[in-house]
Amino acid sequence: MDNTTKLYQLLDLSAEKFPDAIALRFQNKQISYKDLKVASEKLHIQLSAITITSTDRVAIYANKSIDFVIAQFAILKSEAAYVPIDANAPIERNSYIINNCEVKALIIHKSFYESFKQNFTLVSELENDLLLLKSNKETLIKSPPDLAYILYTSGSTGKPKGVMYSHKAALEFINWSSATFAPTNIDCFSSHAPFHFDLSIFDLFVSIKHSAKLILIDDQTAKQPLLLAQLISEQKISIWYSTPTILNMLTTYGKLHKYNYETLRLVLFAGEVFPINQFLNLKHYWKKPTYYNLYGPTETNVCTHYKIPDEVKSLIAFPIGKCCEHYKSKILPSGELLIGGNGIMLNYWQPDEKNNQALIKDEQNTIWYKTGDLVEIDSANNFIFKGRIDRMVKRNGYRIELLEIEQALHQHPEIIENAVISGTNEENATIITAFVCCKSVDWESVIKMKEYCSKNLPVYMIPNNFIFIKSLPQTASNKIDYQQLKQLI
Amino acid sequence: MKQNLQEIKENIKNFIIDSFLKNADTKELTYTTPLISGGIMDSISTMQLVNFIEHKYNFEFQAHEVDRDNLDSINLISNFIASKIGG
Repeated sequence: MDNTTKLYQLLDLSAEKFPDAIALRFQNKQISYKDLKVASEKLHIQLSAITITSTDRVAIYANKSIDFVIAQFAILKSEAAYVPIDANAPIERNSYIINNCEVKALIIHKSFYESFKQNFTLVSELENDLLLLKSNKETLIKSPPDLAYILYTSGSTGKPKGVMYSHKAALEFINWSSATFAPTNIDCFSSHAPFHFDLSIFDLFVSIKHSAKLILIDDQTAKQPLLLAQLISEQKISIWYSTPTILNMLTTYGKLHKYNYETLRLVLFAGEVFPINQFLNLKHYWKKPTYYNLYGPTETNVCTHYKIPDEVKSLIAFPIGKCCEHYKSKILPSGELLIGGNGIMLNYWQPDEKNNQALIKDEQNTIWYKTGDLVEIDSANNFIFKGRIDRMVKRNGYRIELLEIEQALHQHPEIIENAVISGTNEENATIITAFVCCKSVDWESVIKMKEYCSKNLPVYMIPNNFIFIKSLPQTASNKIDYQQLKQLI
Repeated sequence: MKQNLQEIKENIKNFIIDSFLKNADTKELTYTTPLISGGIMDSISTMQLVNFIEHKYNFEFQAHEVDRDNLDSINLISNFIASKIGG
């Protein structure tokens, strides 16, 4: 029934079926399916002129907008892979990503151009202050076949790592979403997550596949609950997808009682645990929608799902549910969850030895991803999330390798050594604490540390607390004694 | 009720120190220290501050007023509050 093999075909098909339907709306602008296709084809021709092909990557460095989506489809149409960059993250981190994945071209907002003048040549000025740049590098690494996009996430080596996704794997997830949530062209999807975050794959491609309308939410509105509460109601959103943190912010601070949400029919959440009491507060305002708890690392996208029952009877955390139909699962004796099937990432971009251990091929040639998440199975055969095997933590749905924070602090000339730990507060939110040994007491300033972090780390990685100590406690084998540090808070 | 601007600044400063700057030396925080752009407040702590101000000064923020332009320093916050309560 479905012959789609490339993501851009989803747009082509919708433009054919519903040319005049609104595809995207952003602030006071909107674009139809036909115009979205025409605009992305126009940019695709410009990309072809600078010989962008299936073996290349093209990064998009801009805030969310209609033009961002045009660029994504233009790149996909060129059969190259798009690399979405977090325009709010520090420029050094973003430069690292752009260098690391050796992009051939860069579609960038004018305001960020200065830092890339040296390594890129300006090709042309696009609409709405975007520029098309081409890399000065002559030879670039070739992408593996069928690569559609690379999403960068916090890496256990302390540097961001790229998760490579093929068209085929992305479509596995998109088709599973179609079958599970039955969206139609009268649905109105939210695009709350930024495009560098894997939740955006659902928003963008599932809505476009079903010729629905997608409301792009700008970065400022996305984190401001009063504006967000208003937007969801005014835009008559019917399918919402975000992290629990955002839903809890909406309930706590969004003044939801002021608005009408009768069009909302489906609310999906993923990325972290949603405490039941917070969920019940939300349900008090949003009674009608069906709710799903979705689970999956960036490497698999959603791999388990749990439909929240109409009546929530216990205060025990929601299960992450059962394996999605396009996947297989198994649990190692250690309790670690493995996910196998065609929906998982191709691999990491330029994987190191440790990365390579994350993927396993069995005798039947099934590829399995080791999630690093510990699970148990409850009496109804649902997976229950129990924790991590390593030092990765989740905060506001973002995954954070604590080593990435330690390494950023390590770069500070006045810091001798540091260690970062995480815990949770009474509301179950992740709290990150940094223990820091400075060369002089002048630098023992929480404000100076936070300011330094805000320039060198994405906002979601800035530690909540800083504790200044003379030296870090060590274990008998001369490693940092993290257990003892936990006793200090 | 008229509130002295200086009093408002001290109230806001105390709230920020108690809520977001555990273990900080209170002398470090000045009326012009950047709060949002300086990494001291994220989106959740910003809403905690808004909530505190609404209860303490008995007025409601319009959705668009929860903005960096009104909230990025103690001076900005206090001037905004004063303009709302006629202080």
